[in-house]
Amino acid sequence: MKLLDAPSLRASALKKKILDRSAVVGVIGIGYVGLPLAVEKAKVGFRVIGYDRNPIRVDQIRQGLNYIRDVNDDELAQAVEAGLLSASSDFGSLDSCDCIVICVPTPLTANKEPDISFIRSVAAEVARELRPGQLICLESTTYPGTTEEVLLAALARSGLQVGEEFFLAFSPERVDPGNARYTTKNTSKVVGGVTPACLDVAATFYAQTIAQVVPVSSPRVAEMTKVFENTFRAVNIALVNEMTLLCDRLGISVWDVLDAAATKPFGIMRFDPGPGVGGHCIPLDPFYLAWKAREYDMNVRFIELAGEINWTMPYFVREKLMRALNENGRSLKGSEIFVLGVAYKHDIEDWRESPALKVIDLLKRDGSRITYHDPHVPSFTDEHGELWHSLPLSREILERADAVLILTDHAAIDYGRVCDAARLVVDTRNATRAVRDGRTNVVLL
Amino acid sequence: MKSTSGSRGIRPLLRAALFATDCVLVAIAVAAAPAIGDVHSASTAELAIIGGIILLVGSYVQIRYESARTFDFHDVLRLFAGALAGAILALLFEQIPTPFSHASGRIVAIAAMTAFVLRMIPRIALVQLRTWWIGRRPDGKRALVVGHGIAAQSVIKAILEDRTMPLVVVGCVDDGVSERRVDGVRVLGDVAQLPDLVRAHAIDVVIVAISAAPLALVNRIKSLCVALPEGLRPRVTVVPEASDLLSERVRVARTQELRIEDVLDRDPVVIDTVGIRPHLEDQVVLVTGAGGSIGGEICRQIATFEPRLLVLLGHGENSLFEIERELREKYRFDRTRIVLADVADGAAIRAVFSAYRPRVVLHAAAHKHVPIVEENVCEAVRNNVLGTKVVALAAAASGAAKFVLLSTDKAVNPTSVMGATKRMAELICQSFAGGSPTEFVSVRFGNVLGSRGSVVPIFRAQVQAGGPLTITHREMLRYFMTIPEAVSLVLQAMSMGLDGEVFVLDMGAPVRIVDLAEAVIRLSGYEPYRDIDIVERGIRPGEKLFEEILTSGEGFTRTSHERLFIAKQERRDYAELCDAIDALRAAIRRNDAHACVDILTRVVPEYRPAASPLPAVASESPQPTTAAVERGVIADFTLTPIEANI
Repeated sequence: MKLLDAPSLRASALKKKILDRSAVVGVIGIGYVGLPLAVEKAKVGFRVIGYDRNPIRVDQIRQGLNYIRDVNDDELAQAVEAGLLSASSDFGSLDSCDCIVICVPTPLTANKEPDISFIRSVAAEVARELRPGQLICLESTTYPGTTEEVLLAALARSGLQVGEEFFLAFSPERVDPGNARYTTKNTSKVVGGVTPACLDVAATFYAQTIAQVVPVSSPRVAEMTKVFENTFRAVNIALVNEMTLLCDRLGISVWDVLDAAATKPFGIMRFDPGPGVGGHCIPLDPFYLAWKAREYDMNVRFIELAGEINWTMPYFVREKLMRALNENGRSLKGSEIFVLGVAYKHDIEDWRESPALKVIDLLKRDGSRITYHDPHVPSFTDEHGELWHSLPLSREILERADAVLILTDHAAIDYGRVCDAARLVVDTRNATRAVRDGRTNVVLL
Repeated sequence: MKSTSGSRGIRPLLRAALFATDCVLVAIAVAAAPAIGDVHSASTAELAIIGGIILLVGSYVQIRYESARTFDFHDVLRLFAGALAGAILALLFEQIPTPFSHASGRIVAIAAMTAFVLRMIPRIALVQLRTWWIGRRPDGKRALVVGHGIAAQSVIKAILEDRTMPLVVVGCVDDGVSERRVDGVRVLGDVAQLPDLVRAHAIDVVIVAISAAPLALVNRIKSLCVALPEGLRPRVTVVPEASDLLSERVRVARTQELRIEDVLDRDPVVIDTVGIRPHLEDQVVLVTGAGGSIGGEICRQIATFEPRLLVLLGHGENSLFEIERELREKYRFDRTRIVLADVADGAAIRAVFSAYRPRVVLHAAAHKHVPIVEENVCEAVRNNVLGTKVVALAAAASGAAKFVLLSTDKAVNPTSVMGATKRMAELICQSFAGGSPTEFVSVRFGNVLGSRGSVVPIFRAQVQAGGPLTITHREMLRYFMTIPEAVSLVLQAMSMGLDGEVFVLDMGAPVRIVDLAEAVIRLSGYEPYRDIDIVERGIRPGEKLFEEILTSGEGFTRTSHERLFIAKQERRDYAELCDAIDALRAAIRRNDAHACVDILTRVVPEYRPAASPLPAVASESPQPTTAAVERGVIADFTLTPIEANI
C-alpha cells in the first residue's frame, strides 16, 4: 500500500464515487447554467443539491417546478420526486457534497469592470466547508487567472492542499439559452485542472453527462478559451458593422456583399450587422479580458475597437433614419417613428440588454415621437423609468408613422404588410429580405 | 326571440301581399310612362315586357321583403339598385331587334324611376303602421327618454324593435342641446320641465340614455322625480355605462333597472385600454376562481381584449360552465379552457402551468365570507394562503410576465381570519418581487356591489321575501364599487409595470350600510320602516364597524391613474414566509385552527383576532382616526370617528 500515495488514493476514491454515482453533487447558482447541469447530473443517477441565495428558486425546485426554458419540466419533476434533486439556501451543508460546481453570474460594474463579488463570496462559503476529497469546479465566465488567484487563494486558507486533499478545476459554461440543437448535454466542454490530478477527477466528473470533454493544460487556458470565444463574436460583429459604415459611404449594399461572401465554402463565417450588440455575453465578456490586459500593461486594441464600433451603431441608425426622413422632406424632430421590435434578438422576450433602448433614447432626445410594437415585449421600462406599451401592428398606425424602424427581426411579424402600409421603412436587420414587391420605401442599414 | 318567431309566421303572407302591390304599382308606372314622357311609339305588349323586366329584376334585387320591419336608407338603396338593374336589362332588351322593341330609352328610364318611387310608398306605410301598432301597446308603461345622442337613439330603436318590451316611448327630454326629434320621437322639453312632463303625459319610467352621463345630471333627474307625489312618481332607469359597452358587442337591447351603484356618489371609472391591450391580446391568460363573481367579470373583460387562450381555473364546474357559455354566447369568445383544480394542489397546478404557460395570471380564487371563514379556519388558510403560494410559485417558474392577486380592504389591520389570510397572501406576493421574472401586484377591493354573498343581493332577496332587512349596525360604514369598475382598475394596475406593489382603489366616499338598505327598499318601490323594516343584528365575530383601506402607518403614493394608489409597505423575506407556510401546513394537517390563528398573528402582527364569537363591540372599539387622516390624501374622504354606543 505504500506504493500508492495519499493524493492519488483520494483522487481514485473520488473517481470511484463518481463512476458508481455515489458522489453527491452540489451546484451553486441554479440559473440558466446551473440548473440544466444539475438536472443532467440527476438524470444519470447522482444525488444533486442546488444551492442558491434566491429562496424562490430553492422553493421552486423543492416543489418540482422548473423555471428555466431549456430544462424539461417533467425531467426536473421526476428528478425531484425520485429524491435525486433538491435545493437549499443553506451553504453550511456544502460539506456533504463530493463535487461542487460554481455557476454564479459575473456581471460588469457600472465602470465596465468585471464584478466577481459573487465568485468571491461563494469561494469564502466553500472554503469554510471544505473537506478532504472534494472536487470544486468553477463555470462562471471570468478573466484568465480567476480560478487560481481568487478561488484557490480562498480555498488554500482552509489549510488543505490542492491536488492532494481537494481538487480544483475551471470548465467554462457554453450554454446558449433557447438553442434547441446544442444543449448542456451535447455541447463539448473544456476542462482545465490546477494539477493533473485535478484535471483527471474533473474530466471524469464531466464525462458522466457530457458527450465530449476537452481537457486543457491549466485553468487559465480554459478561462482564456471562454473569453476568446465571446471576443471572437464581438470582434467579428464589429467588423461587419464597420463594413456597413463603409459600404454606406461607398453606396454599396452591405447585405449583398455578405450574402455573396457567405457562399465561399471555407475561410469565412457569416455575421450580420445590426443596431448594436445586446444580450448577456457579447457586450460584457471581452471587457474581462481588456481589464486583465491592463494589469499587464497592455491594451487589447482589437477588443476596445470592437466595443467602440459596436457602440456607435445606435448613432449610425439614427443618422440613417435622419437621412431617410430628409429624403421625404421631414426632420427627425416632430416625426412619428414606429419602432418594430425591442428585444435584443429575434423571437425572444428579453429587452434588458437590448440596443433598441439606446436607439429609442437617442431618437427621443432629438425630438421625435416614438411608439413601438413587439409581439414578445408587451411593455418595458426605459432607463428614465418611463413605462412603454406595445401598440398593435395596425395598418392605421403603420400608415400614420413618418417612418417604421425595424430593430429586431421577429419571425411573427408580416413584413410584407409592414412595407405595404408604411411610408418609409428603415430596416436595421434586413428583416424585409423576403419582401420582393413594392419595397421602394425600404432603406436597409 | 318571440318577436322573430312571430314575424316569421306572417312573413310569407306579407311577402305575397307586397309582391301583389308591386305588380300593380309597376303596371301603373309602365302605363303612365308614355304619357309622362310624351312618347307614344311603344305598343302595349312592349310596355308589358318592359314592366315585367323591371318588376322581376327589381324584386330579385329587393328580394328581402322581411326587412319590412324597418325601412331604412339601405332598403332605399337596394330598391334603387333594383330599379337601375331593371332599367339596364330593359334597355338591353330594346337593343335586340324584335317586333316589340321600338320604345325609346326615355320610356324605360321613366318607367323604372316611377316604379322605384311608387314601390317605396307601401314600404314606408308598412313601417309607419307597424311602429304605430307596436307603439300603441295599450298595457305598456309610458317612458320618457332623456338624451338625444347615440345612447338615446339606440334605446328608442331597441324599444321600437322589440315587441315584447312593455314600453311606450312617449317622447324625449333634451339634456341641453335642442333637437326637435330624436329618431322620430318628439322632444317634449328640457330636464327642468321633467316634473310637468311626467304629470302631463302620465309617465311611468324615465330612461336616462346619455353615454357616460355626468353624475350631477343623473342625480338631478332622480331628485326631480323623487320630489313628485307618490302615484305620479316615475321609476328612473339609467342605461348601462360605457364600460359595459366596452366590448362593443353588447347591444342596448334592454334598459336596466335603476342600479344600486347609482346611489354611490361618484363619476364612472375610465381606464386606458391602450396600455392593457398588449398584455392580453393574443396572449395566454389564466384566471383562478374564474367561476366567482369577480373572477367571472375578469374573464368577461379579458375576453374583450382577444387573448389567444383564456384558461378558466376553478373547482365548481357549474359556475365555470356558466361563465364559459356566457363568454361564448354574449362575447362570441370561445378560445377558453376549463380546468378543474384546487389551487392548493401543487401537482395539479404545476401540470396546468406546464401545459399552458400563461403570460398573465389573475388569482381571484379565495374564500371570502368573513363569518364562514371564521368557522372554517383551516380550509380558509389552505385555500387563501397555501393556494396563493402554490399558484404564485408556479406562475413565477413558468415565466409568467404578470401575476395579480385580488385582495380585499379587509386585509388592512385585519380583525378576521379572512382578512389575515388575505394580508398574508399579499405578503407572499410582495416577497416574490425582484426574485423572479414575474411582476407581482396585489389589488385591494373594497366591497363590491353584486359580488356573490355581498350585501346588495342579500338585501334584494330580503326585500323580495317581504323583509325585514338585517344590518349589522346602524353606523357600519363600507366602501363600495361596482365589480366591472373594480376589475377594470385591476387590469389597469396589471399594466403599470410595478413589481411587488399593493394597489388600493379610490372607492369614493364610504356609505353607511343603513343608507344602502334604505335605498334598496326605496328602489324596489317600498318605503323603509313603513313597508319593510330594517333591523340590527349586531356585529358578528371578525366584523368591523369601519374598514380601512390602508394599514395604519402605511403611506401611499399616486400612480398614473387617478383612481389607483400604491400602499407603501414593508416587504417580507420569502424564506421566512415559507417557514410560516410550512408551519401552517402542519397545523392544517392536524386540523388545528388555534395554531393557524397563532401563526397568522405572528406573520401579520396587526391582526387582532375576534376575541369572542358574539357581539364584542366594546372590546374592539373602532380606531379609524389614524387611517382616516391618511385617507384624506386619497380624496376628500371624511370619516368622523363614531362612538360605539350600543
